[in-house]
Amino acid sequence: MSGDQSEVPTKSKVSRRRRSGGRATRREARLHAPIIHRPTLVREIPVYELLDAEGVALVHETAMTILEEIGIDFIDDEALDLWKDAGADVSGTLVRIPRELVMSLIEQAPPEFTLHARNPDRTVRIGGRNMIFHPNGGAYLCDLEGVRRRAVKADLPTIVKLVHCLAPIHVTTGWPSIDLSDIPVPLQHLDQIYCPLRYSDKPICSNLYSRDASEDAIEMCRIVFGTDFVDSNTVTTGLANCNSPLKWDGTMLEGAKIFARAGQAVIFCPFVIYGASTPPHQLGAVAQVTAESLAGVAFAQLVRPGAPALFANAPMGVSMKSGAPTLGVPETSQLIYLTGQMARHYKLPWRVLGPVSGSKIVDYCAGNDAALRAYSATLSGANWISHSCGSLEGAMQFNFAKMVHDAELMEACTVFAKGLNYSDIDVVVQMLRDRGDDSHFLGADYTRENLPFLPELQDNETHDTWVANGSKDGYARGLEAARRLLDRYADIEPALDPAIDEALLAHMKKRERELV
Amino acid sequence: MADDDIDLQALNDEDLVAQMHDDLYDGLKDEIEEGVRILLERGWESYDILTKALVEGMRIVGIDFREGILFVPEVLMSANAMKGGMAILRPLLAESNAPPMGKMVIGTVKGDIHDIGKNLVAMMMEGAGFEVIDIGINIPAEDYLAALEEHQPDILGMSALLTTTMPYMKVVIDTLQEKGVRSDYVVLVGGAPLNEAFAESVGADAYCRDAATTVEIAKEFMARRQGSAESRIREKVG
Amino acid sequence: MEATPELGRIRRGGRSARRVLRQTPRAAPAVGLKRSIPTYELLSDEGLTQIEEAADTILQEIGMEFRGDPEVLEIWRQAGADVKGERVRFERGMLRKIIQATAPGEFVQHARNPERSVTFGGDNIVFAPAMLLPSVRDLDQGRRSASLEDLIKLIKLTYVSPWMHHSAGAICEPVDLPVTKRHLDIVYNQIRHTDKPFMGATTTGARAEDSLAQVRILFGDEFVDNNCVLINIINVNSPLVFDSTMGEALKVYARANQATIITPFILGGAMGPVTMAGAVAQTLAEAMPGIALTQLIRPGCPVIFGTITSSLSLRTGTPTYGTPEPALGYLATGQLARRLGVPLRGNGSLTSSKVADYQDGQESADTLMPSVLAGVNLVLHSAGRSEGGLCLNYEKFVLDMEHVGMMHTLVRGMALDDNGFALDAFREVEPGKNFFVCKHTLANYETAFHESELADHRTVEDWTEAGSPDAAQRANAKMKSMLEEYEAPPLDPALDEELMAFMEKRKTQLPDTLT
Repeated sequence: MSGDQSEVPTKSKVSRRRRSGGRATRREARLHAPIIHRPTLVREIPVYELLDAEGVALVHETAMTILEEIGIDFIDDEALDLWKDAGADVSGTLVRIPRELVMSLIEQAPPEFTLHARNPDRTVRIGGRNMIFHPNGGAYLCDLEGVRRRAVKADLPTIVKLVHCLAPIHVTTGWPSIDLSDIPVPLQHLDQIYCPLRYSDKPICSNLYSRDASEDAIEMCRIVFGTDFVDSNTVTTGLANCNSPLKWDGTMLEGAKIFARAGQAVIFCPFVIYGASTPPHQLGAVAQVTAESLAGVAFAQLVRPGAPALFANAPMGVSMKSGAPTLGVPETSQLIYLTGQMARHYKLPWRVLGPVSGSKIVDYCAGNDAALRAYSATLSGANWISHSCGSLEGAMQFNFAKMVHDAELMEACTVFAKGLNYSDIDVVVQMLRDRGDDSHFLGADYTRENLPFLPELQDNETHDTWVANGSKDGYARGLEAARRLLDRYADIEPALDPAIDEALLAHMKKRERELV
Repeated sequence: MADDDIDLQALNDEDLVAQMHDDLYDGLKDEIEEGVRILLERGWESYDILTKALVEGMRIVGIDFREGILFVPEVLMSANAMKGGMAILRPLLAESNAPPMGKMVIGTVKGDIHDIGKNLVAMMMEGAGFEVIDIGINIPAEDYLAALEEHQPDILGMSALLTTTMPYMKVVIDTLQEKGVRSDYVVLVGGAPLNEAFAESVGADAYCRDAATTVEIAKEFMARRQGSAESRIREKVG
Repeated sequence: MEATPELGRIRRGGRSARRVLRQTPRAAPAVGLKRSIPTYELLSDEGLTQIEEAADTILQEIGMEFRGDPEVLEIWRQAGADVKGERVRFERGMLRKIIQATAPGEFVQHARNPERSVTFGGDNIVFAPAMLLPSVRDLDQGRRSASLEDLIKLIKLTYVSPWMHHSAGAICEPVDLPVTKRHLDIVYNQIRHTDKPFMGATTTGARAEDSLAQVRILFGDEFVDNNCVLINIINVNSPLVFDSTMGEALKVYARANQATIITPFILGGAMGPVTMAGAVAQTLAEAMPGIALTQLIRPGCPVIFGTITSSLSLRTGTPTYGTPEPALGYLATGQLARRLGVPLRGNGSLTSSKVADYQDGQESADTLMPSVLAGVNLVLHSAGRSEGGLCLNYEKFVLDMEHVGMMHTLVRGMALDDNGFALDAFREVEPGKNFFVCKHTLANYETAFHESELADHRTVEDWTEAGSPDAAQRANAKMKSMLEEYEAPPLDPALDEELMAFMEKRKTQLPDTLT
């Protein structure tokens, strides 16, 4: 059409709507809409405060009593020495920490920090009013054919690519996403750190479950980001689980030390099954988790003052009938709110499990659990929402179809967290004034310019149209969407400097020889 | 692409029609009216302008709406632009012996005040070139009859959202039967709780599950009516 | 801790006693549910004031149309409103003043079993199932038109559920009965098969009179005149139109001292704006005239502020549910209703899904959760409503009720006591060990968790051996066992006869078809 453009100047058409290029332009824009990765979500709605100030003070008091009187096990000699030097009461492996000491240590932890991605546009902010979404997986994968199985090495690039295509998901995943059953355990971490660095330019998480894994994670980040950059910036985050109740294991402490020393962030997350590894009451459970997580965050400050660390809770319930973990129970929702209140009390960035479900498949229960937890996490003001897409079977299964569904849910949470915009009020009054014979708002410019959130994966058609389209349920649509999305990866694949890629591969080769 | 400075006068016929398709797509009423006037000035038959520029442009809009590329407010803007062009053409078309696009009387049945679906249908029908007389909501049978008498449409459209009001469609159709005028009109019914079986049971000609489908069905019936009208004429001539 | 009985050490009748206890359905809650957790305050006071002022501007400048009802126009004229034709404009603050002078902040709707009477307003939450769905679907027979048999089944399921306080009205629409008469069957069967509270007809004034006549037989004339025994939905035809059908029913019920639920029905983008601050202002502007009208007709009669907002897929023109905008709308409306001082009706498990799948679960939760946190007093449509209100899905009905059960636990919150903090448990349990058999757990485990009956907590292996049932299949089985559990609440045979006689008499008077 551009060839048809006349050079003759025309009369002014100021009052007219602009030509937007007609069909070709709009089709192109809509059919090949770019995937726009979401920046850090800055929450603009208030947090939900389940407890009043007195309640928060009581939980704090109980947590302090646990730390001071009951104490926490640290199964690591260096850790015990550090605690002793800092003035804690250490007997055997049991550390009793005076409240003044805990409080002065956690004050050194940054309330907010930046987690850098290799592409600066994807860098995110952790803490304060910021929220980011991160996926976790499990032992099993439910793949693009809908088959539940152990994952293999070849699956990991696919997972990372799909996560990369999910616009609302801020942080990619290699670890802790999935066990790769065809790689020996001591070597798995190499792929788990390589794939996210290679196939995505979103920020990464890495494995600190062993000394080797921790050291390799830091080393590979140095290859990508440069040694100096890594020393003075946070480029990865590791997850340390407390062996609840009240026990920090040697393996976790070793990894946490390596990360903290390197200035990398650690999430100190008690792994609690509420009612099994905590008392079956929300307040006691939260007091315990608070004590455990604070002890971890404080420990990181002993290793390196100012080390970025996250307060955390991964609330799961337990079926008192079968002993199995449960995810959607209302008590976990309450635990999420309580954890948020405690994190804010200590001014620490914090992490919680998002839309994970106990269901085995992508069914009503999966959707219900996901929504209940996603809402709770958003209203609780969580800074880091893990398991934010694809997690089933109580975090044991990573499900492709659910990944895209949950990502859409996180997109909805993104809109929700932005709250109301009052600027529309005057517009609305004007629209009601002007409406004349039109008893509706469909044709209004304002409507066209402010399209509401449209869940693309959900079927809003009439029943007849739904049948005509094949009567597909949510799971079937999710699976199709995952395949479609993956097809788009090639268009948006982030380039990695071949020299860096070679250096990473060379490092992995070397380590494979050393570690086997 | 900012095409703001296009001078429609400077385009040859083929390019102008193509540009009008795009202008309809973009919902530009002033530009469509200008395009229609230019084509008239250049001696085009009003029927050709209608079919080649407007109806064809709206056909494209319809395709992209069904494919999920266009949104409802955008389609309404296109329909509004089309309506602007039609307003110029309609008197000219009436003078010529071009086949009529079709005329519809539409209203929501007695007891029912939910009219968003009906409004959508009315606008989409206008967008397809139909003349639409919207008689509103909560319409008793006698008002439908009066409107049919007054406007002599090809099509009667009725809508309902409530299960308690949708049986009233049968009351209207039965009244048409009684008066012996049922076969003068194509009766289309729609509304969320309806289905094919219901439409059949009340004696309607078709159930329209959404606005886009309504346009398709209406066009089909118009073609059939014209076909039978032509064959009637042929019979007479023959 | 001393006060807590050590349940683990007490003989409780062994296996047989415990099996009976655990398998007997939990009795429906005898008293209403009270929210012990705070509401979520989305907007600041300034924000709320801004919305209220916009509503006042709408009412003052644009006003509301009351179509086809000279009597209502006269009432407004008397009250000092500016009436021009059918358009009624209100001075700023006028309606708020009328409402706050006499509308009760809390009121009781009586059920025929006094233990099941419910309170609306304050911290009370009442859950009621879906309403008016013309089709039904289940896994056994697929999708079909709803019938009276379905309605009776749904009333029974609602009765058996311990989580539903209220039986709503026509849970599904019995389309096998003539429109002119079915309102009689609906109310009769609500009286017959449940002793929970329910709703009356509002489709015409005459039908509303019939519902009133039926409850007068049940409760007696004087009781009905002095007490609320029916609640009734009055929809506003957004934007800003009140039509005569709804106006008639409103007048009938308000005169009889029965409650109406004044509900603007706004699909963002169609009947209201796409963005929520404006939609909420419009909701408030549209609800206040109806609420105030009830007070002008009978000062002090019970009334509920209703809201049902959803957004629209502007790609197809169909409503979407469980999206973030309506959730924000519900939360803001909750705050506005508290400031106005009348009980609020919101909505539970709305979805446009056709089957009980992920979409259904997600959209339902994303409607129910914000409603609960908004402090909604009547959660209508909290079970079974699929296809955006066109089909009652039986499996969803059962799943939703279980989900509502979770909300019961959520809103009860927790006690800030020593038992809650469980410090003794920490002293007892060694680091790294579990709490399963510590004294505190044994004293608390039975009530510690909400045990969902429909979430599957088996291992994948056990679940696979059981045939890999999805949530819908499990719900289907549960639905059948609930229907088997059902025992009709006793109804005085003389009353029953009188009710039947009235219904039969009315049916002979009414035409079979609409005219």
